[in-house]
Amino acid sequence: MPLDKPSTTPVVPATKCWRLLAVGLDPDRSTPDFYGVMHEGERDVPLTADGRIVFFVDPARALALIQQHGGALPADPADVAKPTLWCDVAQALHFLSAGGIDTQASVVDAVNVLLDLVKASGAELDERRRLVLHSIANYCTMNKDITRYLEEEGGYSSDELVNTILWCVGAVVVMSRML
Amino acid sequence: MSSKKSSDTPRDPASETYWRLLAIGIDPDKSKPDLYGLIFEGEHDVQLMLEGRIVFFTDPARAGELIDRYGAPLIADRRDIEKPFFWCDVAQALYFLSVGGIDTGASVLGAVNALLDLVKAAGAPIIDSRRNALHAIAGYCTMSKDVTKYLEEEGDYSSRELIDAVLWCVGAVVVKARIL
Repeated sequence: MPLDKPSTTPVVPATKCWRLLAVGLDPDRSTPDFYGVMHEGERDVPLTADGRIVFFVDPARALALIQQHGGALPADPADVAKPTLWCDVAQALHFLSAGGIDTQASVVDAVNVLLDLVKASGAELDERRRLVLHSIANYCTMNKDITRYLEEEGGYSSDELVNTILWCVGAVVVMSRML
Repeated sequence: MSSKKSSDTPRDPASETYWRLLAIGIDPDKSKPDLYGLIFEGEHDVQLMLEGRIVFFTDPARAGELIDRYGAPLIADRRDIEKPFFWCDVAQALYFLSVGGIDTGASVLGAVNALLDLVKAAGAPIIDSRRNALHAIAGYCTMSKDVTKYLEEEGDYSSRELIDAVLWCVGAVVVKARIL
């Protein structure tokens, strides 16, 4: 999924709101594979239905799904006309495998979203995986040079980073609901 | 989603090759599979791929069209694609691996075998400990339906290790999937 995103990781919002999340899995697609909706507040939580994380393919459905499954929160403002949160797994895995300069912050965005989604899924992220993800997210908050992390500065190997991402994707997928 | 093989087409891979329908269940509350795939069953089982990615689709009625379009190099003697022959009911398998029980529909065996094939097709290198855990539970479930007994007495791998391995496999397959 080529990233033509207008922003990187959004700043902490002053108010609660719904945001559209774009998820990219297939690097050859020109549009995101799936969309989700995140409620940003003190904690960022995805829209769920019956305890499962809601994903959908038509972004125009976001508002209707918030109304339907948002519980007591649909009254909060919704910024869902375009994605403002990105989880480009394909791009993140590319950088974590091959290195490179991550000018669009694909890695930090994907990791931050995956951490929120895994938390919402209820899957237990063990300490080692948590450290791996926090390490690369912290590094990428200040640096775009992934090659340098992998070859010099990082405490975790490419294999461990990729495997941790794959586990997170699996943990989210098995607790998802495609609507 | 039911996890048993429903096709009554006999398998005779020694003399015939087949295109078979694979059903994948992720959401336990759905009455139908979430996704479908296609497997060319011959001397070796081969997933329908497109540009190096594993093809999945949501409408099983599209199976024939997708074989015609993307599976032309693999000529099968027969097409068994009206109903799923292979089942990868991840939801049901995770349930049994979490809480145990009697797996009468062979959900664990079906899911683990399918995932091992899909991971291989994905080209994702699986570490030995995960591979060994999955082979261990698949080997056990080939002979026994009592998953509780594996988890509590006979198995060398814990519920957590088995679930971890399944989750990793799901992730490894999803990131190499193309949903059409």
